[in-house]
Amino acid sequence: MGNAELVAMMLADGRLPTGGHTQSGGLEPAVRAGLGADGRQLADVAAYVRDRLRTTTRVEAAVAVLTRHMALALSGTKVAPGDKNVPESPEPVALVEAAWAARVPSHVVRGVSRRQGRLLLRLARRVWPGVSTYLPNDGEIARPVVLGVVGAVTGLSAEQVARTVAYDDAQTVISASLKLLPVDPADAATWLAGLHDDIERLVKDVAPLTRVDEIPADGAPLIDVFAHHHAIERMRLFHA
Amino acid sequence: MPDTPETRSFRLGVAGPVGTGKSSLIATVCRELATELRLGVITNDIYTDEDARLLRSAGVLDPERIRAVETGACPHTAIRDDVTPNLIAVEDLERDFAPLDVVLVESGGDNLTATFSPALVDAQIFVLDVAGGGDVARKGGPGIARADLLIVNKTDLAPYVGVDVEQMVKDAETARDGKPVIALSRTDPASIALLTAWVRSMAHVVRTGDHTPVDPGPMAPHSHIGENGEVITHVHTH
Repeated sequence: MGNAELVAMMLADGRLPTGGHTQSGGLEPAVRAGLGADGRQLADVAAYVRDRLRTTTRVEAAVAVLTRHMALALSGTKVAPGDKNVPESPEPVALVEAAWAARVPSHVVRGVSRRQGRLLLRLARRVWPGVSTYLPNDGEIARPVVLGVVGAVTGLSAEQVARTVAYDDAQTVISASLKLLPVDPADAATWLAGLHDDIERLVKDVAPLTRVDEIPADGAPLIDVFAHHHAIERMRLFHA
Repeated sequence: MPDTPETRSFRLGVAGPVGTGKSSLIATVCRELATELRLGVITNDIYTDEDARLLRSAGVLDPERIRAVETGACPHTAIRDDVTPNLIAVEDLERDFAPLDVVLVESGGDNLTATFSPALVDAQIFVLDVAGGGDVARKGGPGIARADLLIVNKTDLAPYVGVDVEQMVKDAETARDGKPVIALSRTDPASIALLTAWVRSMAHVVRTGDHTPVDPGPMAPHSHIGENGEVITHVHTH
């Protein structure tokens, strides 16, 4: 199983080969729409991350926490052959995926998360083969669901799973800002450090969740609108 | 979706610096071979889908068989350190148009050290052009030295940029220890025939299972002047 702390570090490391370099967390279309004011309001980037942590990322983190919880509940259950009361193994995970989809109204945003989930799944099935108990070998599955399963099979706590989702989202946006705006990399790291309280607040809120209907349904319509613009944009550095 | 190894194509990477003619080389391969081989193309444009559009508008291949993958301004990463987005694009193309004989993967132009990971392609072509300077082949690098095929492109421009093509090819051959070099011009049918013959034979070799991908390696051979004034060239092992 390895050390959970080290697994969390691997998952949070942009060098893990799961296509993280193709993502800006919606920052590229937001910059095109005026965020950062052509470099005159760079602090917008940190504010944008904070908005995500309070809305879309909060949903993602809760979904990852619930997936972990469901997978663990399942593995702890001794199932008698043919027991009709216990669902087939992938079903609880599919249930969380459906709950996630119901909370993400944009088909573009769902498509991006599922593609990124597929990339993570692809790596996970090699590095942590235990994920195949809950997930198919390949498939378009929301990234937080795949991450939640990885968390379950590697012994991550609910807090670690939530923190990984939140940190990854913040770091995706902030590192993309270095390519999209005239940002000093040291300023970027300072913004990230300044977001720790927001990240921990999110962790505290979503880590205790154990029921699918407790997953929050916060949304950020403007992020969805930007994502839709980006999907048909010709000049772009990032996939999303 | 299950893995379907029976639909596996010959995956051929095309790398090289920006503007050396990678897209044009792929268009040429498609134009010459589309009637005898089932082809697909993945492009890695750095900032636009320009390369994919160029290929689609060239009309040499069904536009649906040409797909663009974004690289987040990291063309090097996309073909080397984290090939997953490209790999999935290749596999989806192979699945959607099964069976394909060859999938060409075009790197977003990068520098002389960018080469494909053997996890993504079976073989790779590295493209230089005479307009980039006659000394580039001599400078070396992993792609120049060890790609499966080196192209010295745009030889028809040589008189205008003052480059001795024969010398450039000779330098490249020296750097490559016998591996093939083709001096290519889209106005020279004989050179195009050499290129298509190489692609055809490589596709055959890969399909018959007689090929092991060779990694050109990320570290460039490197030269410096020794104490006695002689030029020393070596590759670091770290």
